[in-house]
Amino acid sequence: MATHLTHLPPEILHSILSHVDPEDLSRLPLTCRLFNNFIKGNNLLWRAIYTNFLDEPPTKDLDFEQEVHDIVKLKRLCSPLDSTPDTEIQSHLPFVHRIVTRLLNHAITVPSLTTSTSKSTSTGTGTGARGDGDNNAPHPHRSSFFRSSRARTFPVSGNAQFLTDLFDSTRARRNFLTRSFLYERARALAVAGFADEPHQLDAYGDVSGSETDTAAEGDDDVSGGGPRPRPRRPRRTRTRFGWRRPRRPREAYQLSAKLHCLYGWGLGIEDGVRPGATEGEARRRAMYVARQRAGVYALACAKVYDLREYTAGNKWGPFLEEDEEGGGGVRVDWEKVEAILVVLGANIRSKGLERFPIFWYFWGKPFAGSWRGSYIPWSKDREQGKESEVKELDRMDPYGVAGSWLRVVSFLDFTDFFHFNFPIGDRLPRDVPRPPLDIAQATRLILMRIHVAKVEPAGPGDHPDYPVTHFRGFSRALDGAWDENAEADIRGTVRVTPEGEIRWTSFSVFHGEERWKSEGVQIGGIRSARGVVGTWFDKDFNPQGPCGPTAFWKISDREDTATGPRVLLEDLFPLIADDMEDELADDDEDSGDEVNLQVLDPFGPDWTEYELEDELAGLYYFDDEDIFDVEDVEAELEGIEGLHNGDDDEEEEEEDDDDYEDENEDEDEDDDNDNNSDDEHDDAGEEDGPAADLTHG
Amino acid sequence: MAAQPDFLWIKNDMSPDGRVFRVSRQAAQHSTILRALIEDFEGIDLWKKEQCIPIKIHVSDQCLSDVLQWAENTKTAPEKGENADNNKQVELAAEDMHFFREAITTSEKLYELLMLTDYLGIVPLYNMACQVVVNMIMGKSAEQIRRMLGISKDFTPEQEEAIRAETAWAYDEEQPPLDR
Repeated sequence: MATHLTHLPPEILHSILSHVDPEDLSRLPLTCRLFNNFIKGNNLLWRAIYTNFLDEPPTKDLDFEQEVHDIVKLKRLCSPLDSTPDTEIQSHLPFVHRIVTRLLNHAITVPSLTTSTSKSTSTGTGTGARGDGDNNAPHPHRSSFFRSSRARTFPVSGNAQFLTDLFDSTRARRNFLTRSFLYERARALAVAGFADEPHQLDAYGDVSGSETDTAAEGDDDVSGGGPRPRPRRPRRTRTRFGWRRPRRPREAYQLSAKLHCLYGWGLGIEDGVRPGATEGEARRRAMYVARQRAGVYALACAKVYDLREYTAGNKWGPFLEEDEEGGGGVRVDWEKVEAILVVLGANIRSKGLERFPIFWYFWGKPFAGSWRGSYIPWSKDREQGKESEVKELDRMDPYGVAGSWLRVVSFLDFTDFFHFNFPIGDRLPRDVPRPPLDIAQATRLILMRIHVAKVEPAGPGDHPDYPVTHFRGFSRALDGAWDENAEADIRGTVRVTPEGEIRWTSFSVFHGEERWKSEGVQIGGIRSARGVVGTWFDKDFNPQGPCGPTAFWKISDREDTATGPRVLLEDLFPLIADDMEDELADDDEDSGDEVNLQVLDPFGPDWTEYELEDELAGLYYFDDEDIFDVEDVEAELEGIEGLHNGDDDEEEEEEDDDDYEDENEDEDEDDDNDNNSDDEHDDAGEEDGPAADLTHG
Repeated sequence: MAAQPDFLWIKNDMSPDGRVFRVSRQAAQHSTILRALIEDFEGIDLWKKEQCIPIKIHVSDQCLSDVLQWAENTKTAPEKGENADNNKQVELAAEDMHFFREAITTSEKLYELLMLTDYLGIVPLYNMACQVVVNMIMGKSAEQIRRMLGISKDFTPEQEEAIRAETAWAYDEEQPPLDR
């Protein structure tokens, strides 16, 4: 009788082998015939390996062997230790993009309200929202559908955690998340964090990325394409004003930008703030960086506030220029979304808002709810276990529109905006980005409460499988005393583009009149907790602007959205209060007594006045200085050089905004020459003349 | 020896020696099989040597003795309930490490241990035994695994080459794209 381990019965072999690492399953088949036969094609075993560290995928008929193969390869590509040269690794960007999005698509989802996904109505209509009564959810841990803290609007996901760990490697972030034009330009300009890396802008056809890229390069005069030396000299990508943008979006740029958007906002390369770093440390660094305003941030601002990038062809939104035929419907311009995230993320941090979990869950952590179906509903009724009636309209709306949303809007002082976009004697070619924009912006926080107005079938140009939801509602700036813009009505639509992205369009209506319009895309897909990122602009597309970046994400659900008082703060307050409780609990167990929010009934009649004054001062962070603290027009077009002084003084404390200005004024003169008066250099002629957005190292 | 009320008696009918082993009530709790037996026959007089419980499994008496010894020595309460997880990663405690070092010295013994603990449903020990095998495998090359587990290579060179090609995914080369 054989008493050899290889002769164990299959169920015992299974329970042993389902504990090995995925990599080991590649070596075991090589040991002997029995292991080979047992492992190959054993989907149950591969599935066990997969679910050891990843979420139960929503689809049951996956080829888990293939899935695990891909994941092992992804791990290797992201490993900080792998000896493969970076250029070779970067050529796998399309693969990495495919597997990362796939993992996010297979991440744990919260069942939606809509009838299409909830089979069971036996216990009443409202149960789907809580995750019970939904039998087709494959996840055993129902509790994960309740928020672990009120501010955490998405569940814990093995997939997101796995990806977070992968991209914890700086090398992986550099190789795959910084391949867009924005970062190529950062390399070309040698901004902080990218100074020592070669850029590849001189040869668009050679930039890392998929081979398919070369097909799109025809209009850059790249004949023959490919990474081989070309017979004909390509169109010069560099002018004396700077590097041109490629005429058509390069696939590699877009893929990398999309990955970066899914990842979050910050890469920790340019500013040393790692997502997920402890709050105090992150905040100190953030303030430092905000004062420095260095690097990629300024390049991203130059993209986001560049009116030339707002065109009829892209609907003034984060979309690509429409094809000539125009029949394809809108496609998301991930490079634009990436730039917006960089700008808003830095603005949020420089406001110190990141210390509120309702912000840092999204603006300080990687892969934060950036997958479809990640939003966990919350309302005080649900928290108290009450069932609530789901309105028919809400059930028809697959996007989970109804509820309260927290919104961030950034804008430039209009004078700054105008000078940036319409400099005197502007001769910058259209396809050369404007110089780095390094100037204070105002950032407003807005609460929106919206409800479904109607749900219509998809129209032409929409994805045929999804309806169009029209919503209405009300918004209020959290800075209540600010100005007449503080309160507005909101109306808009949500629809799915043909490529499957969720597109939000909204109008802000003041005194019955539409004023601002906004276009955005929901990162991660339908009902993602990460929310919507996009642009705002004049609803008549005023060619003189203004425009800017905005983002909003859902914070709570509320049943009585149609009527009820317009005051919205009670939708936000419990989340903030919860944050504070957590914070206090962490710091010091006794300190709960000092604030003791728990004994205050947060839903009592008087809490708004009382609490907001005392406890939420941080949200009223805005004073007029924000808008006007840098008035000098000269300061606005600063180059980058001036910003790197004082790398060592990070210990200085946060409050002194003044020395930010001081540091920079020293440098103003050099840069003005380059930037403000390009016309003077007109005769310089050669292509290597002073380029508008170059700083000479 | 006098039969005390709190002992079960077990005999492996497949073993050539066929010794009868005494198992305390406490130790029996580690085995889901014996536990169920005790619960089902609580009223009946199980506790006599004449009521010896036969088991039929191809393992040596030495192994049975080792396992029962482990059960007697291990006082931590076994996991209760049906859903005691049969399949989770475990850390070996110091006593258990000791057990594996002393008693399970060959891969044959490991084999018997796995068979027996699976048969008796001694979940913690079974999980630990699995983990021991996993530790022998993890991060090793094929040749190292063979040596570790005492396996001999039974491929022809052609077969080996074919398998090597199939498992190349873990090392380098493109996979064909997957449809979503």
